[in-house]
Amino acid sequence: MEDSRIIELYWERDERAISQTEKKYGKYCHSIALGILRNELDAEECVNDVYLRVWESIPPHRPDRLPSFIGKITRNVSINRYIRNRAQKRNGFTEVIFDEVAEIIPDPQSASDAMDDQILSDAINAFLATLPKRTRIIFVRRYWYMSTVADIADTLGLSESNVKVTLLRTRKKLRAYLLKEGINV
Amino acid sequence: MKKEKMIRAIGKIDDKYIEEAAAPTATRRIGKWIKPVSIAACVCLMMSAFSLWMFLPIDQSPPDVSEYAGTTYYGLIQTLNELTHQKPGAENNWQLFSDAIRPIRREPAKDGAAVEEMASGANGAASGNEYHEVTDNQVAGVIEADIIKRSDSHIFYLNGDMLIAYSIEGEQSEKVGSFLIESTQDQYFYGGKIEMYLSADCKTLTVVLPYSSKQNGAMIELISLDVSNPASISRKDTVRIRGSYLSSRMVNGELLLISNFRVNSEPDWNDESTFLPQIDTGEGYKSIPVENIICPETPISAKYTVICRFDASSLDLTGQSAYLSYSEDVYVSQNSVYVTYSYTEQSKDSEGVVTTRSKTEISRLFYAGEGLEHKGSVTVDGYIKDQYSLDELDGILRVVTTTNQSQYLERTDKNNGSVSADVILGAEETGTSASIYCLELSDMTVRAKVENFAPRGEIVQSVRFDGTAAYVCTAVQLTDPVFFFDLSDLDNITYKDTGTIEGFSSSLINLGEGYLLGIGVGESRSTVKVEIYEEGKDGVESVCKYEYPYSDYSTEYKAYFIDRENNLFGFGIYQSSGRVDNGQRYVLLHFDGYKLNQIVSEELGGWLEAHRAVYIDGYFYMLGGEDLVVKKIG
Repeated sequence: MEDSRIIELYWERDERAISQTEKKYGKYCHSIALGILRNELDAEECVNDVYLRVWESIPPHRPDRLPSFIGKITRNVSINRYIRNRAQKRNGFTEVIFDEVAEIIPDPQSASDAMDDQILSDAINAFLATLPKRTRIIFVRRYWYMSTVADIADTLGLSESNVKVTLLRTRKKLRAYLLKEGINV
Repeated sequence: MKKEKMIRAIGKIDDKYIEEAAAPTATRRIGKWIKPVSIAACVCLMMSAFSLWMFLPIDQSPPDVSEYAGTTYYGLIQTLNELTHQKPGAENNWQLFSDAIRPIRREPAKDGAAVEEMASGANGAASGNEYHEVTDNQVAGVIEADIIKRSDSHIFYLNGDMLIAYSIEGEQSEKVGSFLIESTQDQYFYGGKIEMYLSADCKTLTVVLPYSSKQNGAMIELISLDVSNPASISRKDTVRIRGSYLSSRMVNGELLLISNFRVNSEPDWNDESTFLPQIDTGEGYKSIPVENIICPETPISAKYTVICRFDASSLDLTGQSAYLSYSEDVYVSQNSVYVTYSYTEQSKDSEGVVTTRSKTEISRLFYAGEGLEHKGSVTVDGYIKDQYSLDELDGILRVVTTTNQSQYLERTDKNNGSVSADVILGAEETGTSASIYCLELSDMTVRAKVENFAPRGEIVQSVRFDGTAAYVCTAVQLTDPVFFFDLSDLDNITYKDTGTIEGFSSSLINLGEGYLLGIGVGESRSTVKVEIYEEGKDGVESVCKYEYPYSDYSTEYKAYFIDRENNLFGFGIYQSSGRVDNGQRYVLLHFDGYKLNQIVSEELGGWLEAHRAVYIDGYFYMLGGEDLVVKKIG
């Protein structure tokens, strides 16, 4: 079913919207959730939450790109779940990604007012626009999709060390970029 | 909290970037327990029938391919059928029932990518007609591809997939033309490292374009471009080869292209593209003839190393061969291609002590005659770092490896059958070290060797051969000895070393007259170090060094500018320290016989591994990204 028709079903409050979403994007959502939570049960529960959130979001939203819209909700739900779970059980894999992201923060000790989230996101978008396509894909697959280095290397036909070096340099460049823009986190 | 804020901010990036990076998802949910067969009213009869069914053996043999008997490739099909067959993993249905977890499979990404628009360039003079080598080739006369080539009058530089032509006019140099390198046939998801060759008359550039496409998977295109007028570059011919690009060389006007082709995990024997390497020279894809496929005695991998030979100017296919074996690093001498792959060998003694060792198989494929001839294979201990770890001289192949051995005691729990392993620490022969092997090429046997010459725990960081001398830098964490080997008398190989020096060299470059240049890291991983060594009577000494604190550099050898005649050495660095960001620069050092002096330090864009430089008539040209920076250095 076309995305536009699925969105119409949401607006018509027709519950077939959820079953169609599950049919078309179930695996996609599951892969994002599993990538972050690394636990099958948690991932399944998250994906069920996602369907509810999407139902509650459309309307009023009418997304231009349904897969990205659903993907973002899935990511947020999964990260919330991860943070909640962290107290009880650490997921070493996702924690590594959190630690990598910490390297980007220009001044982690700063007590000054942190920038608005949207300004930070806008800055990251502007930075991503400056990157070569391959580098951008590696960065997004690691820090948005939370893919493993091995998966990224395998998908793009690169060596793992190549991916690691690219990520390290891109984090440093983003950090420098945020510093130059005067952005605090 | 800040980490979480950053993670969430990244979550809000533009949809286009999210979709650009998306890959097909093929996650398979972890399987649930298979529900057992239901049992009818007569329990005993059904239980017996059930038991019989549960313990019936599952057929482990590969599919029957006898229907292809009589076809040209039948022998090969039989071999590949064995190699690609995936056994069920259970001997009977009871084991299958007990097997709770199935592996998660991932499919290769095959998303398409938008084709970029072509760029245009300004007017410029015709290309000069004298070729100048700018790449520091490993073997004399065996030209390596690179992202920079030059003629008398122009420099050609690849900025990713954009070819740029610059005039050579000192500080008045400028961009005169450009050309977007892309496949005209496939919508490709990703382009790998693109590199090129310039013909001897400087009128033709041959570009190697590796990529992955939705329809065809891993592909390579050879694209020849007319650069006789760099202001108006045009495409001439295109050749397509199925497979992933490994390496290439230009020798005596012939282009050797070396690639890997992987047989599909479930090949369709009626479709040759699923199990045979194929090449399209403009008349459709054709499979490599069966007589040109070499099968080793014991093939272990359904993956070919493919070597194609092309006329450098016309791209006419002049030869093609495939060797049914996996390849990682490749070394090309003036007459042979050496392909290598590494694996781990495991053995267990009667007391349950398991020993694992790294091994490398090296196969020699002779290309100097017609076609390709397999001259034999040999296995050595350890694994190879890169192409510079091998060198052929006077019928002997010298190889340096990092050896790696570990031992552990395997214990089986008698109650539940689980197996655990206790690493045996302190065993004398465990851990890493370095070895050098000299192989007799006439019969591919080990003629001489020095094994485990480095202190335990060290690994090979860089190797360089120079005639009968070999230089090896090993390191553990942040200290390195550099070893100088004298291989002139294989019955009496001698060596000396520097002792422990802070940092290590990831690349070693011989400067002649007993001097060696090392580029690597200093006392901390964030310090880039350039050091010059000199071979003395009793050992090897450090002459001088130059360090860049809080810096990063590229280990790509071709990104270094090496001018032995003028003792000039250049490369890119990225320097930042806390709040101080000196950014990315290109630096040039001069060795005056006593010390290293920095004579150039200029901001340069692009990625460090893609930085290149050329020294022409007193001017130093630095290229990176879209930048061309020229400095007069006299």
